[in-house]
Amino acid sequence: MVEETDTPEGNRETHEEEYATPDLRACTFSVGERVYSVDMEYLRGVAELTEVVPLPLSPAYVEGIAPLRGSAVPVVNLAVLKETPEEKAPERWLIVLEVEREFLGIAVNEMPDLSEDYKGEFIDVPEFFETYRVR
Amino acid sequence: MAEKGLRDFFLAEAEEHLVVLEKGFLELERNPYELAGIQELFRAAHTLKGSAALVKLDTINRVAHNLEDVLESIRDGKTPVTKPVVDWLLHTLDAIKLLVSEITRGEPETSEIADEVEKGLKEILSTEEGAKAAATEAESPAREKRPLPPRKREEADVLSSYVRVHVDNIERMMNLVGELTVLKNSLMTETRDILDLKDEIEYAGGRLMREISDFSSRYSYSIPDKITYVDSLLEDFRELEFDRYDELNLFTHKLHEIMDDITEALKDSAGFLARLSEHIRTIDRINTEMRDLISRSRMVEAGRLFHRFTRTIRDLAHRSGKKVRFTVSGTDTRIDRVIFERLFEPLLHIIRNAISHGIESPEERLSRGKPREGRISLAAKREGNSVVIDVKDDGRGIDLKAVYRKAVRRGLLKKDERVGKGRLLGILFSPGFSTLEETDMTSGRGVGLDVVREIITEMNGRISVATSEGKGTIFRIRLPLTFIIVNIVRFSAGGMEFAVPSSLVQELMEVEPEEYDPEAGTVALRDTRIEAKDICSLLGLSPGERGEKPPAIVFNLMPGKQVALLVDAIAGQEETVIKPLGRFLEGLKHYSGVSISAGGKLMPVLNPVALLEQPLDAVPPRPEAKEVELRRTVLIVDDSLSIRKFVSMILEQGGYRVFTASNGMEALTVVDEHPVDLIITDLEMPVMHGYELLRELQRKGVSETVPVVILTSRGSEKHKEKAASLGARKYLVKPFEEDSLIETVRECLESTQLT
Repeated sequence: MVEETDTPEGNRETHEEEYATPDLRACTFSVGERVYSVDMEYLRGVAELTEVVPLPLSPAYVEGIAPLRGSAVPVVNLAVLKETPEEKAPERWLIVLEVEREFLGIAVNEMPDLSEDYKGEFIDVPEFFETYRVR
Repeated sequence: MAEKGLRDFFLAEAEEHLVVLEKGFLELERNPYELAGIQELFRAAHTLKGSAALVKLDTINRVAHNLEDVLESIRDGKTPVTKPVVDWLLHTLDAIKLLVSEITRGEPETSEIADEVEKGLKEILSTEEGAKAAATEAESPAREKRPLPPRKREEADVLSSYVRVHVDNIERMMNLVGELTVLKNSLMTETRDILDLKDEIEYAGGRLMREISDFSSRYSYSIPDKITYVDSLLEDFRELEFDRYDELNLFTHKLHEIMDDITEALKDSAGFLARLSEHIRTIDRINTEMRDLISRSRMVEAGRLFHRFTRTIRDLAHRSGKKVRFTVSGTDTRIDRVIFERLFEPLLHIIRNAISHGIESPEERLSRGKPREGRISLAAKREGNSVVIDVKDDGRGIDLKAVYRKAVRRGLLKKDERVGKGRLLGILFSPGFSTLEETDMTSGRGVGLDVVREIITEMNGRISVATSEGKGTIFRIRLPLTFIIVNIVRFSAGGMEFAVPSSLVQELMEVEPEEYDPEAGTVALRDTRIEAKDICSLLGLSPGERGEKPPAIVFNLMPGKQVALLVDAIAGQEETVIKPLGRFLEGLKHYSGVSISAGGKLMPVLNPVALLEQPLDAVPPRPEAKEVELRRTVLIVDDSLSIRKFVSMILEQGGYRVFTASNGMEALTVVDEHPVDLIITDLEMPVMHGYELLRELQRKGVSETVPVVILTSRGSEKHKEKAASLGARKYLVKPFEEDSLIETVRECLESTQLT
């Protein structure tokens, strides 16, 4: 896993870069004017976020659960979590992440981008999952 | 990786063989001359040996090999079934179990175990000669009783029609069926919409036809004969009119034709839609059937669970010097895999209690006119959508007087309080009734019964107990048949829809306003008062519109304890698929999952036990790693590091977020950069002292919204007045009390919240 990231060897092969398809390894998005990146490895899709069912008595950053293909995904509101308030757009998206067959969604106002580089704050998905899961 | 997969496979297989072997050995012990089942045992040992060799588990291979040899020798009449032999068999079985558990934990096998097994074998072989003679005479009738070959073939056929499937696969299939259900449901609503649309088109078509005929009839009526034409020129006009009439006639005729075409097409599409709905209904039926089949395939026979106790009961009875006969019934009742796995512990608790406290010693039993051997039975049966499991013993029963005395001692009952038998038995399940094993010896039973109840209610089940002095006790456990499809009661509260599992609902009631006492939290139910709680206040929701007699759901949380839950409105009852909330939200104990209805709508399913029994601050603890919610922030300004540290510590413990600054200047920078809810400042500081800071905060208009507290060693009135004139809200003098600081901070923040 570690070897796959930028190594000196990778740089030596720059002459091949032209032909190679871009290696999209980051999914970047912004919440409350802050930019975040997650590893594509954990991205399972981006879905239209139509309805979030709130769960009373859950932490403020858990906006609720959203339906996804016959199942329910927890929806995390990063604006609340990171204390960077923003207004919810009328149409939002859900970035669906998967950690060891468990799903987690991050609600965003704008469609996220896929890019070759990580931008803004990097979110380590398994660590994020462990830190913020409700115990 | 491949080997790991194979080992998992081996472990799954080993468990089955071990169950077969254990059951067989115990049968052999009870009935040493009945050798009809020996071939099955031999085969189990043989397969175990082969599989172990395949995945290179050498020690298990070796032990199983020994087992196979001994069983073969018993089968061929070379070794008689004596007590030492049976003991060796059971001991060897334990050895294999030990090895298997090592593998499960990912540890290497302890090879000494095999040495020990072999040593034991040598010992019996040396004493075997003498015992042999005794066995030979008994052996032959057993063999004659049931011929082996036909049974063997039958079993082989049965075995070859099974495949092993990983539970995860079943779970995945179930999820796919769930997705199909949701899709099918939306297809159903869509076809209904199309049918409605078709009706509308038909109606519009009908209107069009009516308009056309109205129009044409009016037209044809108005033209002829009504007007008398005197002029021949006008007669020509009439001709012309006729032409036009013809044209109109033609036009309406055409419209009729087109409309007929449309109607025809609609008829065709109606036929198509009817067939489509028929197909969807078929899909619905197949889907339901598939769901049932898949959920049934994750079920196991209750017997497999029950047989696990055979050995335990034998050992426990032996240790306590009691004679116990263990019987099982309803072993082919199928129960959910999850129940199977989680029910072992609770049942073990109950059985252990039954042996140590219920069943009397053989002498005592005889003196009471009971058979020497005590009886414990496990029975499973299906009742509608539930499985009922009874654990029954014929021991001395529960000493209710002792329970009463102990409940009073533990403060669970008031002295001289009058209680019924049901309530007393319910107390057995209360947390805190019995925590220590030794205290239990004096009072009857109750070791960990609160835990038993907890496990069972977590599975949406119920436990009850009935006892009769001197005759015995029955524990009855009622559990839902499966966890996937559950019957729920839907209700609304605070504008949201929720559900609770029906298995825990005793009844629904209407609350008469004069019979509900919100302060005491009780309501009248028939001739008693029971506890009552409002769902909205439990969940922090504002109640929606309620009728004059708001409905309530009455739960039977434990024997003798009912709680009424007031809700806005009851929406109905239905069968639904409940999905767990997943690991991210598993800490939300007051939800048992989420129900996904037609059209993919989500509805949280509440866990009434967690919701109604836990203290009200059920909000789960926030993750500690980072500030998660919007905590109130306090800025501490003091040139002394120890004061800054001390005050920070106190406030952080009080749940506040803290910033610090060592003088007024630094404080202003912090205020510029971070939102601050309260400032605590010293007066004497370098660079910019407290008064200057106050003045600056006043100038900036900060002190209007952010209260400032002075914390200083200067206690004179002069200073206090000056600080107050500069906008300080409070004045604390060092040395200060921890509590008074917290109190002051809280007061200041509360007063700002109000404004």
